[in-house]
Amino acid sequence: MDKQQALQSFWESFSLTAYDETAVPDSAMADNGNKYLTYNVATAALSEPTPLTASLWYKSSSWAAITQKANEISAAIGRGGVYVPFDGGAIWIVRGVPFAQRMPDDDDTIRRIYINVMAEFLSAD
Amino acid sequence: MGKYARIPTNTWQNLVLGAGFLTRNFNPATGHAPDADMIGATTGGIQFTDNVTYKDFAENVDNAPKNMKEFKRTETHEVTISGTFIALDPDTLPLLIASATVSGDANYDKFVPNNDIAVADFRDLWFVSDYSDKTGAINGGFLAIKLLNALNTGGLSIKTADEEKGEFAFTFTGHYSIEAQDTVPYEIYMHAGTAEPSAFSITSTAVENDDDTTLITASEAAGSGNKFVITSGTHVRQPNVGEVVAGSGWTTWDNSTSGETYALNGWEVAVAVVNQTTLVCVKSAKTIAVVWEDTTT
Repeated sequence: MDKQQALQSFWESFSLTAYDETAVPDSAMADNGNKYLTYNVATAALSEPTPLTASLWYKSSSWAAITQKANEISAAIGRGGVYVPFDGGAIWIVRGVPFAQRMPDDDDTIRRIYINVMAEFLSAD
Repeated sequence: MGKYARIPTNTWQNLVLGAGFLTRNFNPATGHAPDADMIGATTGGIQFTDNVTYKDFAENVDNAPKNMKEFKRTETHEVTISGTFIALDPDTLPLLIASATVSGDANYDKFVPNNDIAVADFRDLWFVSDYSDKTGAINGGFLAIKLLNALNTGGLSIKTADEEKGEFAFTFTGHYSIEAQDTVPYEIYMHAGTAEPSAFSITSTAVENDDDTTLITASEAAGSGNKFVITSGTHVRQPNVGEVVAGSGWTTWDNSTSGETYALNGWEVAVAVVNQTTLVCVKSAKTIAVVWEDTTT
């Protein structure tokens, strides 16, 4: 598994379909029960931490479910962060500051939470 | 890439991560550090140092070169754990004062420094930090240092600043004991973590065109001798392992790992795996119900 695949496996581990934010189909909401996650792909080698982001997208009039999911992701990362292995190393992901932000949307039936994490790619290459 | 521009391939499995914390009590056999024994939140990390002093017995011997290994002896180890707390409580302050008499009443706690120290003022302390690529809550790896007979030799320091948290610097020094004069006052324990057991969880999915039903899916089957029970409502309590789950709010789920249940959007849903006979909870999980909404009007 390469670094990009490791990021995909991490973001899809929260029981949501996870899309690279550059490749989201128009039918994503309908295809996935009115909720899905997008994330950005940026990689590095052993160096300073790299800021990464993700977004939760829920079609709903309520913030309850999407907030619960954001809290679930926060708890899964935890205070010490998580290791996501790939061939030749691992990504150490920790929560960013701020971690989760509610974002406005022109469509009032869309709820979006923007998530910030810091990722350190622990490999020589 | 240069031939020697390399790092060990298992580097990422051998890292010490995070600042760690100080505690009065840690069991290296189980990796358990009781919350009640944690000493305090810190800022800027924690530093452990073992300053070893050596004696060169050939120092004044004519014609003997310096640093001959056969003549080098260890004089002493000066072992310290230093850092800065950002929180104080009645248990931490006496440690920082090093030796104090504590009294008080319902209105205040009173700490009076003693002019001398007693043997009882020396206490073992632990510094524990995450270690290895497995740092989960149950099987996480650790690097733990036990400082023997620790005493804060840095004195009491209370530093405040405008619009900032107060800071309380410490330097705990380990001490030898007359009863164990060859025992260097620290021990290090290292344990690489292992994979966490899979956690029982449930997910909620909307049912198309049904605004009061959600489809709940469990991550695993109930198992032989067990069954699922489910409840939903505006607020529900997730049962603890070991407690009997009964009452009108709980209904039996079928034996598959998914099923629909009545819920409104934003409600909580809890599922417990219980023993079929005793109804004792084996595991449980809770989630927020996701229910279909008509957004076309």
